[in-house]
Amino acid sequence: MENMNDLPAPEEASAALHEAEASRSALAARLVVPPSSLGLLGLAVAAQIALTAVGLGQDQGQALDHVWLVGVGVVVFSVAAGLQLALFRQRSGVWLGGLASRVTFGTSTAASTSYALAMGGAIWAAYEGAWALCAVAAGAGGAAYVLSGLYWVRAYRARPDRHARGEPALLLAAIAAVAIVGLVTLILDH
Amino acid sequence: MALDPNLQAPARLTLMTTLTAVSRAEFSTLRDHLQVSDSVLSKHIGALAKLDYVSSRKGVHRGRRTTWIALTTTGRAALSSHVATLRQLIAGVD
Repeated sequence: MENMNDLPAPEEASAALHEAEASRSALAARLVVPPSSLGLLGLAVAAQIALTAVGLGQDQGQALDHVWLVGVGVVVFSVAAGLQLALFRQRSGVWLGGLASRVTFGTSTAASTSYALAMGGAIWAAYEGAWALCAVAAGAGGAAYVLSGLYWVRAYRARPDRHARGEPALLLAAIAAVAIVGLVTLILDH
Repeated sequence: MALDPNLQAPARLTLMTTLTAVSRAEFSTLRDHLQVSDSVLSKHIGALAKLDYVSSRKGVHRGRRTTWIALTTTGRAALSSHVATLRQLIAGVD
């Protein structure tokens, strides 16, 4: 039985801790989120925003003719998100909850705020028939999503222990439910 | 001041600390990263799992069956306390 009061020399403690933290940093540095994967996600977010805005932003009489575009947008985003997470897990051999929630599902403050602003702007532009502005808002939303993801990757590399875990699955499910209810409300209100 | 005797072995401290960088890691990824043999890693994981410091579950990676390892809440708390004690020890001589 090992003795709990059998303390190592400070030099030994320092060496053991340094080695352990170096191993953690090395693993974090090895985990690569390919820029192409983030770019694809950004494009998917831009497409989802644009499709939602177009689907909801038609003239009143035509609205139901285009509402299916909202569903297409959700499918496009879901495929890109699933692809990004599956490829990352397959290539790296680890699962990072922080990557899934903060980067892929955009729960960071920057990603969620920019997404909401871009979506609001795109829908407003679509209602006004300003399609160029709608495209700009959707593109800006996708770009902000990518930048937010890059920011998280940098923060993770600096403090992997602080950023590795994401929000609990229950909270993510609640956020998804709120988003779906919001979309359905928008469609029904139309 | 008390260190956790279950984390005194440098290999276990390194394994547990490394796991704080991920939500869960595949067995062979950990083995390759830590540069230990299957049996050594299995032994440490088995001992830590008995203490509820880590959890393991079967899964599939690149089409083959494998085991995913994760820190538990108990393990995270034990590691945090152990590292805090180590830091006190180190600070005592600085």
